[in-house]
Parts: sequence; C-alpha cells; structure tokens
Amino acid sequence: MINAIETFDLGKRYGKQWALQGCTFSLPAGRIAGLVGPNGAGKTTLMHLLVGLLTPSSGTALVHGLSPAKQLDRVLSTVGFVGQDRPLYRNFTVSDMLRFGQEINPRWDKSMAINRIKQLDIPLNQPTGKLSGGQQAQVALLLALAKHPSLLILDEPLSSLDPLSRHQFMQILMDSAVQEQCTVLISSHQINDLERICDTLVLLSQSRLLLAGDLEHLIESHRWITCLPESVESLANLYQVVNAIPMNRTTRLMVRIDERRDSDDTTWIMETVTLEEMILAYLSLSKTECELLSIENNHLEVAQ
Amino acid sequence: MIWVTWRQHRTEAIVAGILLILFTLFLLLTGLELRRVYILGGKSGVESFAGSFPFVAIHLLPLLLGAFVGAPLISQELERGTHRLAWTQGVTSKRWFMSKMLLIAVPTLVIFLFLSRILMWWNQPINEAIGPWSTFDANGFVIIAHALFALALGTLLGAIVGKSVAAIALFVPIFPVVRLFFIWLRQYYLPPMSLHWNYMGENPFDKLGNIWLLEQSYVDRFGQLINFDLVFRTCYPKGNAFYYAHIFDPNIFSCLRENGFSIVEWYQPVERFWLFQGIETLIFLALALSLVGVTVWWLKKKGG
Repeated sequence: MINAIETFDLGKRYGKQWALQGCTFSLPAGRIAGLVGPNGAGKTTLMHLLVGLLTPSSGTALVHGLSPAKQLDRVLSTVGFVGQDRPLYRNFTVSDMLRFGQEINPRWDKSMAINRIKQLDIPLNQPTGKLSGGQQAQVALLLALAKHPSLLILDEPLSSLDPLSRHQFMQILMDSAVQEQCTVLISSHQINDLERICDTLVLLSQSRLLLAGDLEHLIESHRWITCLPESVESLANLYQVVNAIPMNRTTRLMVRIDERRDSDDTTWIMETVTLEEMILAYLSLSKTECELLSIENNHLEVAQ
Repeated sequence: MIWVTWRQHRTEAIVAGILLILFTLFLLLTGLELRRVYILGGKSGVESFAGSFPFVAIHLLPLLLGAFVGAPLISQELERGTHRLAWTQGVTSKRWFMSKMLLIAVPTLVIFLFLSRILMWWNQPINEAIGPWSTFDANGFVIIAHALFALALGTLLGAIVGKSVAAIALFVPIFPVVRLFFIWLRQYYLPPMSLHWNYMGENPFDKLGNIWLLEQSYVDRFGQLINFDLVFRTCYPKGNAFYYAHIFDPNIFSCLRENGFSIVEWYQPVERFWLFQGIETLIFLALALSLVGVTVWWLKKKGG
C-alpha cells in the first residue's frame, strides 16, 4: 500500500535560515496524525510543502506517491487543505464560497456541500466575514471536504475557537474521516483535543522532526526516571535520555525505553509518562539537542 | 474561473464601466469643441488643445488600471492568506494566475480598443492642423499596449512585495518612469531623416508636411557643423531674438548663401507615425508578456 505521506530529507531554507531541515518520515494511509510543535517549529512549512504552496530547498515529499513540486494538479485533486487562520473570502457569501469551490475544483460534491451547510444551520446569504468563528471553521473545512479527498491536511484549525466550536469541529472531522476513509494530518496546540482523535503523533521542534509514530506506542516507550545525580551517566548508557531535570536532591530523566534492558541497580524509580509530559520534554530541548536527536533517529516510520 | 474572476472583480468592472462612459462623453464634448475651434481659429486654436486635459487624463487610465486592478491581484490574496485557499483547491497557482490574467486582459483590450478609436476621431483636427506627432500617446493604438503593460507590471510588483498598499506605492512612480523613458527613446526607433538646404532654389522644408522636428543646425561649405552664434553674428544683425522670426526670411538668404551656410534638419516624417505606433505597441506588448512570464516564474519558485 502506498503511504499517504512520505518525505525524504525534506527541507526548506529562507536565506541562511532553515524553516525545516532533514525531515524524513512516512505516514501510512488511514492514520489520524497530530502534528505538534511550538510556533516557528516548521509545522506550517511542512504542510505547505505537502500541498505545493512551497517548493522544497532540499529532499523530496511525496503525497500518495506523487510529488507536489512536480505533479501538483494530481496531488491537489486528492488532498483537502485548510490553511492557517482558516482563510475565506470575507466579502463572499456562504453560497458564493460554495460556488467558488465548485468552479475551481474538478471534483466537487455539490449536494453534500449544501446539505452540510443546512445541517449546521449556517445562513447561505451571509458574508463569510460576518459568520462566527466556529461557522467560518466549518465552511473552511467543508471547502476541503467537498472534493472527497483521501488526505486532509489541517493547519491549526482549532486556534481561537471556543470549546463548543472546537468540539463540533472535531466531531465533524472525525465523522468525515471515518466516512471517507481518509488520512488526516492536523496541527494544533490543543494536546487534549489531539489525544482524543489521533492515533499517530508527529513532533517538530527547532525545524527538526523529533518524533513520528503510533501515539500509544510512543507513550509506552517513554518513562520518567527519578535517580540520584551520580547515576545519570550510567543510565544514559542504558537508555536514550530525552531530558534531564535537576530536582532538589535527585534528577528526573525522561528516557526512551524501546528495548527493555534489565539492570540490577535499584537506586532509581521508573514511572509512566502522559502524552503531554512526553511532548513537553521534547519541546523544551535546545536547538543543538534537537539536531542531535533528529540525526540519531534519521528515519521515522509509522508502523502499518 | 470566469465566475470566480467576475465575483472578485465586479466592483472594479463597474467602476471601469462608469469611468468609460464618463470619459467617452467628455471626449465627445471636447472633440466637438475642438472642431469648432479649428473652424474658427485654424491652426493656432488647435495648438492650445494639444496639451489640454484629455492628454493628462488618458495617461491616468493605464495608471489607474495597474494600481487598482494589477497591484492587488496577487498581493491581496497573499496579505489576506486567501492564496492558501485558492491555490490548494483544484488549480495550481500558475493556472489560477494565467486564467485570471487572461480574463482581465481581454476586457482591458476591448475597453482600450474602444477608447483608442474615439481618440483617433478626437485627434482628426489636430492631425490636419499640426500633425499627429505632438499627441502620439493619446492618438492611435499605443494606449492599448500601455494599459496591458501597466496591468502586468502592477501584478508582478504585487506578487513580489505581497502587500497591496506597498505594491501600489511602488507601481505609481515606476510606471511613469518607464513610460517617460520610452517617450525619450521614441525618436530613436528608426534613424531620423535629414534634409540640407543651401538657400538656393525653392525652400524644400515647405514640402515636408507635419514632421516631428528633432534637431536643427547649420553647416559650412565643407559640410562641418558650425556654431549658431557665428550664423547670428554674420547674418542676423539684430541678434538671436529675431532668429525664429527670420529663419526662412528670404531677405537674409543672400547673406547665408554668400557665407556658404546651409541649414540641416533631422526629423521623423509624418509617414512614419503609424509605423512608430506599431513599434511602440510591440515593445510594450513584449514587456507585458515578459512580466507575465516573470510572475509565473516567481509563483513557481515560491510554490508549485
């Protein structure tokens, strides 16, 4: 089966500054992947490279086996994209916006679009600029869905939405993903929301890809270790240490325990981690640490 | 794309329609007045008309088009983020831009073709009385190419700076500078013709008709250019204040003849007027096409 997304050493440079560097990963079809990372980590850059709004400075990206840089027409026909701030033409009415979608897309499900708008009680003759944030988000999502994409890419679709609108948005997103059997890549700062719907995590920080994998598996393969400061070195030989936090008399380490290694030493305590803790541990890494880590895990593949 | 282009530019289209009606009425009224002046006052009446309002206004039309249609065409999408919507639906940015450009260029062509036809009518008395050269920019079809060039220039500037106000601010000085450069360059489109007269026999300048006089000078009997002062001192006793009044005064011809002076004029003949209109049209059309090409390249370089 062809992966929905596959990148190899993908990078984008502005002048001397890399917005994204050495990004290699693959995402099998059918996955719901959450893309997390601080602002400026390269999330939008990665998404724009996948939908052809940017061309790569290095490496390659493939969407359903097709290159967005070379076969954008064919890529666009299978990908639904909602960009940052959920852009709409603010002076267009909702029905203008739907007509726009119909005119500009070779494949467009008119009746589905109209039905969805009616179900959501969104007034058709209202300019989109006058809709509520939640309604705007729904119209933006609909413009991506009405071409029946097999991959949905959503760039922070939940930002500045109230909890109810967020919930509704996620609901419709999940329903559609199931109905259409499409792959989803969604970026957000709302880790709780992502945890509810995603089965896969992709983590970017400092322009580097640090994690990509099955969400449950990733959580399972990370542990907190509380130990004495002098044991840190010997632990680093056993496990990959993500992060070390000096406490009062002890040190707290976030480690990766992909292969279970036994040790007689009982001077430390091991605890499970939550998704949020794990993400925060990676996001607090410095630029050099991110570089080292990303070179170490130079190919991240999400298991089928 | 036809509906999309119309929906996005219908305000400009309506404003353009109103301007066109007003301008046509204005040209009809002033054109009739020009004819009245020509019948009553002949050549001197017409001369005062040649630098009058229609010629200022006619230069404004391409400027308005470039500033208010060209400059915002891409920059407004970029600054509002709607390119992330428009270029990720079913068409690539290149196709989106090419269709829009074509759909705006064709009505522009029709409107300015109509205007140039009216201007040709307007200029008839001027053509008869003092020749067509003095109103070159608003007499004939060059204005069509000027308008298309303005549209392409504004669009490219908008694509590069990405802010509509900045694009307008750049376009408004750059466009007139380019136009002024070609107004200066125009005399060199073809090497000028020259005519010598050694003040013997019939005055040949009378037969040249309404030429565009580029330069006037004197040469001695060896064909060397000589200083005006020498001619004035020798043959114009009252100094150069009388020069222009006596340039073809038969009373001093004998003096000029005896000293071996002859007069030379460099000029573009009236027969070349339409050829020059054609040359300038080709230059501006070629410029417009290259700017469209650069815009496509720019969009391609940034994204797919």
